[in-house]
Amino acid sequence: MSLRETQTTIADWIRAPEGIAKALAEDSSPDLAKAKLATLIRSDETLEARARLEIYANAYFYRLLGVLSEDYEALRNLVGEEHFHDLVTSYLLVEPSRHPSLRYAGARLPGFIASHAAAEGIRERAPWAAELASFEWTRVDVFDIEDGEVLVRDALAALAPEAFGALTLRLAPWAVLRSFEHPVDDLWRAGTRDEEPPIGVGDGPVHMLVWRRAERVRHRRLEALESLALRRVEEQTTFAALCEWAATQVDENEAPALAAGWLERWLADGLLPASALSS
Amino acid sequence: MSDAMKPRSSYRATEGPPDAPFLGVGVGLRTVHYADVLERGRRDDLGIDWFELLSENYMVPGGRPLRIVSEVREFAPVVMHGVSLNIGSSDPLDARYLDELDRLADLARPSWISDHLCWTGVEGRNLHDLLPLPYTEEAVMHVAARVGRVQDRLGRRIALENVSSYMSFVRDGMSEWEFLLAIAEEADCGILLDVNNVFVSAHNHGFDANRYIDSIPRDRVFQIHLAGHSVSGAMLIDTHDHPVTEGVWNLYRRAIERLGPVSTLIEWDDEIPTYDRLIEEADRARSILEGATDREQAIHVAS
Repeated sequence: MSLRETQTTIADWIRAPEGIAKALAEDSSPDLAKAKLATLIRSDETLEARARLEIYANAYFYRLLGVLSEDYEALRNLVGEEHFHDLVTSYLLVEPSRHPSLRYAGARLPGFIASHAAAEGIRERAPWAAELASFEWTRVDVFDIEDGEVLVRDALAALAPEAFGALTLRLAPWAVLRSFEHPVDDLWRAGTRDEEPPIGVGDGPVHMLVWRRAERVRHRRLEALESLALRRVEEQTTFAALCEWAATQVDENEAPALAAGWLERWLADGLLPASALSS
Repeated sequence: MSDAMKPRSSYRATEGPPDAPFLGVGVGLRTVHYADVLERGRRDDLGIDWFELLSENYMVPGGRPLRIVSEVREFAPVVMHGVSLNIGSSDPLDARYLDELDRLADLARPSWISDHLCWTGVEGRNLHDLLPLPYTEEAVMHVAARVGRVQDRLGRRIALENVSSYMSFVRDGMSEWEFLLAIAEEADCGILLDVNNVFVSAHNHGFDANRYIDSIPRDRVFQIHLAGHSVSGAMLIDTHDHPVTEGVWNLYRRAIERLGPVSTLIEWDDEIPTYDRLIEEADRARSILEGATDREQAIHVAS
């Protein structure tokens, strides 16, 4: 048997969802499969080949289950350990890890829950599961997303008042906007604090800001108007244009103060990159 | 190496690989110890000599992991140790992985880079485990050629670590140590001798651990790993969640008596103890290294 065939055969056995014994028994030619194992892996008085291979199969599954349990702590706690275990089993069959780092093993879980036939059960039981998973994955991503210098309030103090309008507003890479149908922040809090999930989930759009500040991932729910404003910042705008847009949304006299309030908050949160000043 | 980065004790390194300077005793850099490490590092009281980074944990776009590497590098030497080079796979080498590894090396400026003599996945699917290879001529040539390409890409020799294993192949044509040495010679690469893995695999496969240790030539050994393991039925499992066992300490002592001082790392990756407890474990390795040095010096004086 070539090295290639040896490795693909072993990998298929290790990834078998219900263990080596069952994989061998359910092979289209069980006798051939058992013979293949016997000619490939050594058995001795300490342990037979199947049990030796089983050590790797168990390690494979439980290592990935452990990583996904950390990445999706809230989801796991809210759907329960048993359902989460089954979810990970079917997920890994469809979406095996293709990245060298375990860090990315769970990247496709939200999409899997949202649309794969094998996740129908969890969608029925927990209609919010895909969105909660997506929210949790955003938090994972933001933790080690690209760095950069934050625009601080003091840097703006040097700007002449007439230059303020031309100030470029851009969202930093470490700040991410996401919109959901379910209150993922309430679900996340319940799931990470071992509380009951909120009642009446799925009542309308929930706009979330997820960002990193001082190496910690934070999130907050946005009012609809601030969310729209930040979407404009995400596409890049100027402070003057933001004020003009705000005037179309609220009373014209209130617009400048509203925009100034947003800017103040975004600076405090560290959502804008320092590079905006040089644009 | 600046004075601040010299090993804490005056060991005498002998005949090691020229590209793997003797660093003393190190520990793996782990998230739970970041605060201790930075605080102690700033006041020059690390308690150990160097750190090993698990490469993949730092091959990320930004955030805390990379900041920690930059800070730690200011006060201690580091080496990079990977788990996903997949050097034994029949898949093509992952060029993107090598690019990222190289990029991390630019930041971390490691004394050397290591990974494992194993395969970790095939057909593009990663099993995230260190799987043994068949000990055959075919595998020797396959792995050695790939090590050559990795070393060319990184512009340096790498070290390969012997893994703990729980299965072996019917068609094995040589011992594990013969396989390791054949690849190291063919590829001209270094060896990261994991003494715990020798102990574990010797138990699991019934070979003589002393014979393994005695076969390793000093000029190939970049580094030694020490770790704890678990007992699972008739097998030993390389779990890195316990103190180093007495059997492994004895094997380490034997290795050091033969090889002389070798940069030694304590691995403790699960059920991670306090940083102080880790230093205690490192101190035991240090005393064995120092004992070997004293003996060598005594022999040198006597002759």
